[in-house]
Amino acid sequence: MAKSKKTSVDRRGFLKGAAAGAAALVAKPELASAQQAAAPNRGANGSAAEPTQVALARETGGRPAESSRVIEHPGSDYMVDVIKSLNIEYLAANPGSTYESLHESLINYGDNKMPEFLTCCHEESAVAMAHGYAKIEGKPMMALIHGDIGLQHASMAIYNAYVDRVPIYMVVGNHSDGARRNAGVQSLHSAQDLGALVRDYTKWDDEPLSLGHFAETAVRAYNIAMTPPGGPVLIVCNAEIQGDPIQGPTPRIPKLTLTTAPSGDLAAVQQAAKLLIDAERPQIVAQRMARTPEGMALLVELAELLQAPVNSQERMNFPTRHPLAGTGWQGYQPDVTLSLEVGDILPQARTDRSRGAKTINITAVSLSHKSNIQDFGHYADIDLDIGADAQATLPALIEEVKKELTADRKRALQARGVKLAEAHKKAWDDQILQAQYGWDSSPVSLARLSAELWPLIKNEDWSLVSPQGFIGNWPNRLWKFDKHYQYIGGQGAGGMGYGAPAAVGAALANRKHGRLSVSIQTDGDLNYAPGVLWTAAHHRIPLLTIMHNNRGYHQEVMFVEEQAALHNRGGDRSHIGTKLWDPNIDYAKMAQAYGMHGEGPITNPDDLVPALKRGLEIVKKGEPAMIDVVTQPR
Amino acid sequence: MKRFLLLASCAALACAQSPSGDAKHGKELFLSYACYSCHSFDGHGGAGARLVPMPLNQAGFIGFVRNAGRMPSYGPKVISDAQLTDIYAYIKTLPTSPDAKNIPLIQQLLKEN
Repeated sequence: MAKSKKTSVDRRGFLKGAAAGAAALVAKPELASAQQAAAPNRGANGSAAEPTQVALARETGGRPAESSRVIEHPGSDYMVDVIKSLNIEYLAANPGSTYESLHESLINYGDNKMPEFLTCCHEESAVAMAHGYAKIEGKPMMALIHGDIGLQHASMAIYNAYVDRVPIYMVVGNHSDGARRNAGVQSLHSAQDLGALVRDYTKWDDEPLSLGHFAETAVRAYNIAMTPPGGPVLIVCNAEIQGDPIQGPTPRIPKLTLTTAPSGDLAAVQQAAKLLIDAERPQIVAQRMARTPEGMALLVELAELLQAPVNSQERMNFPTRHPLAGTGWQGYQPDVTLSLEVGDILPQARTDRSRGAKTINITAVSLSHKSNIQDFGHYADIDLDIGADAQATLPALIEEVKKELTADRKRALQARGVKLAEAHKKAWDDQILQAQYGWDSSPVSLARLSAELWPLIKNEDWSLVSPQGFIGNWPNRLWKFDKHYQYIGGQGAGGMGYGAPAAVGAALANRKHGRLSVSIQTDGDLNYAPGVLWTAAHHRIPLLTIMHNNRGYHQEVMFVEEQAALHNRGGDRSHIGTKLWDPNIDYAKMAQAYGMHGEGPITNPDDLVPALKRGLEIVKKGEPAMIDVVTQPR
Repeated sequence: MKRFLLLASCAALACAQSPSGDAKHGKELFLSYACYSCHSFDGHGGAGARLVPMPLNQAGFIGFVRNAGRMPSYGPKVISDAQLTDIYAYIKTLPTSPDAKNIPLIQQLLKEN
């Protein structure tokens, strides 16, 4: 097909022009800059912008005169030494010139080990991968980010991690020194206060001005990310400090000592213990409580001491088939609620107040507030508010309960426990029976999908690395979750585009433990940045992705439909702007295009198990695979 | 094939039981008005209630849609009684689910609990 010479960009012509431009730039860099400033970069027809001389030079490999110098010991080598001292396994990155010196030092001087470079197709994928990794491994992974544009790409994933209280270690490049940065692109990718772009939802950021300063900042940043409540931290890393030679002896690298998690005030903990022991119908609500497997074990111990039901959300806080898992028997009206790291306490506190119940709140988020983003939720009437990390407070609370619990009271609590166990079994049986509805339907029901998957993985060391909110929580309703790494929870801030990269990051963390990672992936989420499938294939990250392909942003279909009814108009246009059909997206081909096994679309539920088995076989060999299943909306 | 015939005969029976509605047109409306978004394509529920087996008679169904509780209400300006009658007729054609007792996997899950 012929293209208009006026409007098309011819690659050969571009390179030819680029070479000439680069040569001119090398010969007379200052003049070239001045010329660029005087003449706007317009195309021949006056409509299309042409690349600047500097951009052309960079695009074609031409470099300013300074590149002919040899720098044997750039500052970025020392930065690698500092980063290595933090024992970070991986870094995820989309390449960018603001950190090119550090990039080169990491892969050559640092031998691409600790951390190992993971090539990403989008900065949002890089940060969300680190998000998923940290939820499994309990420590941060690094994301290396390009100045300005890369950081803005990454911002949504940073926000999710911030709200989810997950540590992520981010380094972003910047050309801070205006006198040394080139005109054009380098200015466009630099900022006076780069951290400001994401400061509202970053736990801490700093821009060190020397190598010694970098060392202190780098170690401190790790410490801050890990101190509960965890969160993403950002180091703005100047290109000049990266690229300049190390002058004199290298600064000492400070020792990393993690700050202990804040535990609750003893008097308040004693008060909480008394309220819980005296309660007739206590309940425990846990959200982002168990940071580590120990948190889960502690919660089991506390629940069993109190014989209190545990309503676990957001994380693997409590085994799903434990007799105390759930919300108690029908009509169970709690008179004391113990809330552990609950995001927004208002709904619980309001319910408690309406029935004269007491609310105890333990959260470290009380100690770490910012003003702009409203992630702290509402202020609420609470009877006892303990500003401390819930997991770190549980040992003291358990001890106080043990001290105060009399033999008589213990017997009464055991009787309650028997009733709760019966209620738990009945509730689970009811949930399992719900799976029968739509069992033979096409598209495939999510209950059937989850039920068929379970026997294929239950004897493996498995891990569900995807959220469950959009899949009807069916795995939670049918499977037996009893290990901390078996579920990574949701997005944090509800930002779509998290699911696919977080699954890849979590699967990466699971890989060295030999775990089988499974993701039930929503189609809308995957389409934000599907390039992460290539990252999984390229880095041989074993992960079975099963598409929950309902061909749309389904929740929004319902919302638009509801609004249409509210406005007394028909819902027959609610598919506009919400559905992903016409054409249907072929996820099997998408997976294949990115270099992994892909099959489907599966519409007949009877075809499900053979396809899942084929996918699992590939994953067990160390590769990713995708099975596209066309599903009921939810 | 056997399954298709079974479904076809069920559908024919259901149509015969609701002569005032056009199930074919009802299906078009069920899809275009996005009833499936809450109740699933098979009517077995999701975010919304299960419609199969339909517990209401035709009049009760229309009355419910006009003055729904949790679900948004749809007035006659939005959808006519005749259209709702067609949707009702279509819902009546939708096959019921197999009994959990006849699904070995569900029985296995119950044993594990």
